[in-house]
Amino acid sequence: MKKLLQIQDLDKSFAGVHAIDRLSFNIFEGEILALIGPNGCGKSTCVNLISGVYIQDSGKIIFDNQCELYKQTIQERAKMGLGRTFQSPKPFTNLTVRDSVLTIALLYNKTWKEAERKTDEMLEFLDLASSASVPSGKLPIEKRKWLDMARVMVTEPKLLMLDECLAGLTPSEMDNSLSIVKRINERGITILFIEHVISAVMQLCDRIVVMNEGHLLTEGEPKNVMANPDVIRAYLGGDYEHA
Amino acid sequence: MIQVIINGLLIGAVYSLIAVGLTMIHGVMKIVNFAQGELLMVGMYVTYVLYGAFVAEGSAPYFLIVPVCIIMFLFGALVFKVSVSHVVGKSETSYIILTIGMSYLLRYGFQMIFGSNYQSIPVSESLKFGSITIGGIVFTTTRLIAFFAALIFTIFVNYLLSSTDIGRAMRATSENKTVATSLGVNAKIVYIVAFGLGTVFAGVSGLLVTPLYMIYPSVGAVFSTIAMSAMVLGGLGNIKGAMIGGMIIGVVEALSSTYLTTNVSQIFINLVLILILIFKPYGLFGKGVRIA
Amino acid sequence: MSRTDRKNSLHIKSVFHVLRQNPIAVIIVLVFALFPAVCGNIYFINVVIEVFFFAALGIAWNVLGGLAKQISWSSACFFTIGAYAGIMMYLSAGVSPWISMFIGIAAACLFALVIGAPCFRLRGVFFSIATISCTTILRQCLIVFKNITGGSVGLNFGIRKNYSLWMLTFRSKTDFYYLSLIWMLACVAIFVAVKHARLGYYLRAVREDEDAAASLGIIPSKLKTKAFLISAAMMSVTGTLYVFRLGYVDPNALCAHDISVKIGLIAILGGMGTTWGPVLGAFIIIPLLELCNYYLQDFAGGGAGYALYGLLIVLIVLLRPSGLITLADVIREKMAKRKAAGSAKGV
Repeated sequence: MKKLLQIQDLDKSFAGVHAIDRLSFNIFEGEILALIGPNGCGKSTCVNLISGVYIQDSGKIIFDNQCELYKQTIQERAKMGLGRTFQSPKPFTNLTVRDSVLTIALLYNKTWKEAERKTDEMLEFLDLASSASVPSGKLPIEKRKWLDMARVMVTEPKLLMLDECLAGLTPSEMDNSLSIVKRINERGITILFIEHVISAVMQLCDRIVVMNEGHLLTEGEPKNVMANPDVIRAYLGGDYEHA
Repeated sequence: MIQVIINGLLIGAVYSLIAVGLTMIHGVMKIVNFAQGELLMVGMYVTYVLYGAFVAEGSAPYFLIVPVCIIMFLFGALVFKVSVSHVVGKSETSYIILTIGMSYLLRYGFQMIFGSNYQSIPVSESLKFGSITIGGIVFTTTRLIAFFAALIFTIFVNYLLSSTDIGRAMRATSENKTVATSLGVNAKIVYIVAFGLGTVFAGVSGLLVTPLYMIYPSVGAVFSTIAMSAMVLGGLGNIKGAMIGGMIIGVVEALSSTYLTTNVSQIFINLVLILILIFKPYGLFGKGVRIA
Repeated sequence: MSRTDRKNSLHIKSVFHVLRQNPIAVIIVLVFALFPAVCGNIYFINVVIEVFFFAALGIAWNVLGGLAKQISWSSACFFTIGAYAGIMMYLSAGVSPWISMFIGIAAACLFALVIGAPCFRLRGVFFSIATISCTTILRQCLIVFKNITGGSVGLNFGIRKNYSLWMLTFRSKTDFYYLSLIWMLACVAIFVAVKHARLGYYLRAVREDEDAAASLGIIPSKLKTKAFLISAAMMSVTGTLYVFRLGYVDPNALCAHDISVKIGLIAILGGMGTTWGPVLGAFIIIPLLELCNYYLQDFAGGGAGYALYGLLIVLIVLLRPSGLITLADVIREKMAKRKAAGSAKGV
């Protein structure tokens, strides 16, 4: 399988706090990779490093086999095909759902016609067509998350990083969102799935990377990872059997 | 040269005091008060009226500090209750516009009462022009008093914030209002006290500069800009930063107006502000905000 | 899809769209086109000319302030630059304002680029405070370099005799009235065009959430600079036209914080980001100040006009923070409801 993103010996400190500590893992093309770990283990920092919000102190991030990410701005990385959503949705509150997506589509398409076609198609694809003319700020939380995905999807990302896209949802809403993530993946988009909800991760993901205190704890297939005693100790505590 | 720097530092302390008031209000309720200079103007007029009514001509106005503090605190609390309290937590635009509107209302309201003429309080010649000379450097009495009074007040703020209940409540509210409220802090009272104290600082600065400056309704405009620059220089929400910011502006102003002209000094103060912001977008002592 | 062919239609369609959407606005514009014919009072006509100019400035402010929510207090700079470009080129070489206008635009854009670079690194209220500094710097520079700018006294046209449109020297006041009306409407058209162009969409995204916009590939500082340039150019042209009516420049009156604030407030109180908000704002604020200064000059200690102005600002922020123009929506909604209720009864 082709490696889409390689992270090698990544290091990042904030004012003495070692947030990421010689972290290395790979993301393969077409897979759904889960990134899990206890609170504050550096998952979000990792996403922020890949998407360019922070710049690493040392180590390498290699995208698409040849391109090393270091100096590129957030925007340049977005245009290279690195898409991300935020832990709490960030809607363009006073714009309608359609305008929110159209704004971004305009950025990536030469003509209005093309941008509008892509927008409408994406709204259809993510079950947002019925609320196209609703102001984004008035959407329920679940749909706000889908809107964030729709916006980033029209940038045609190669790698989509979803930062806790299930947080705050009810179980039935989670099922809807999971099927949407699956559908996105079926379009050939590689997904980095940062999540707390283990059942969702087990059900959805091809591989799991577990982080603890900024470094890699283990990686592998869901079943193997979850059977690893280190993981149980560090992350799930003794209660895993009951979870 | 040293003389000029000393003069700058002395007046800079007064700028610091205004900026500390601003910083305190911003720290607690995330509001930049664009009418802070006008509050200083109110303080000057309060001093003027009290002086005319109760003080023998020629004596120093400084012991009016207690009544001025009380009146200004009540005035600040009233202003907060009537207007500012309604925009706490709303968008930046609302408070910017509200406080700008308030500055016009105060400035021209006072003009309607007192007229636009320049007034001054008749302090004695010996206070007005008195000075102490130490090691060849002249310290003007009025400026020296202003300096120490400003210093004492700033130390008082630090003490208040670090060692009293209301101070701790204020710091807690500024860190995280929701958490503070859930722990039993009464945010409403904290806000009123913070705004009242911010007003007191402006008022006291007004009292301190009455022997130095003429009193007129639009005198606040000058101080507003200077105080805001001082606050931004230091980094919003940082008392120590505001203090140093005020001093820097005092020195820059003194140097450029002595060696060049007053008109040029205005250019320099603002250039220094913009230059510092280019290299330190969050001020000298400000912390960058973490995004995402 | 009515929007699909927008790119080719050069936004003219959207201008018509706006006209059709606002029949009341069209009526008001017609009323003001006919106003000088019925109003013989030259004072009122002068007040309305002032309103048109400030409405134009408010609309220009709205390009950056309304669409991207960057509260700038440097508007007076660009207005002043336009005015000085007009008067200085006229005095030194007798250049027509229709030419010096472009010099003004170039100078204003240059100035906007210079101050935009540092200011757009700042967010929110930091940005606002930094822009205040820019006005002070420019004003003091105009005063200090007195050899070319006339210092704190300013410059004066003196007597202009050759009446012509080319030199913007008119015999009758109504000529300037129509000129300012046309320019204001042109500003409305420019605003609408920007709002419905790609730039308008991007700016609104930045306004709503800068971090999210950046993560999706929008470069906020670049777009804000673009909007700032458009806004600066519009203000500069207004300045050039304005100075040819005024006849002189005074740096302390023109390049003042008060002017910047007035321009911003006109847009904000009228309705930030709305097309007709600044026009409404100008029609309230300018006459209020002018008439109060005229009739209440000697009331109490003076300053009643500005005190009322302050009070009005405070009241509007407290009672109608979204701007006065949104009252129109409320009325429209109420009328629609009443209509619906009425027809329901009829059935």
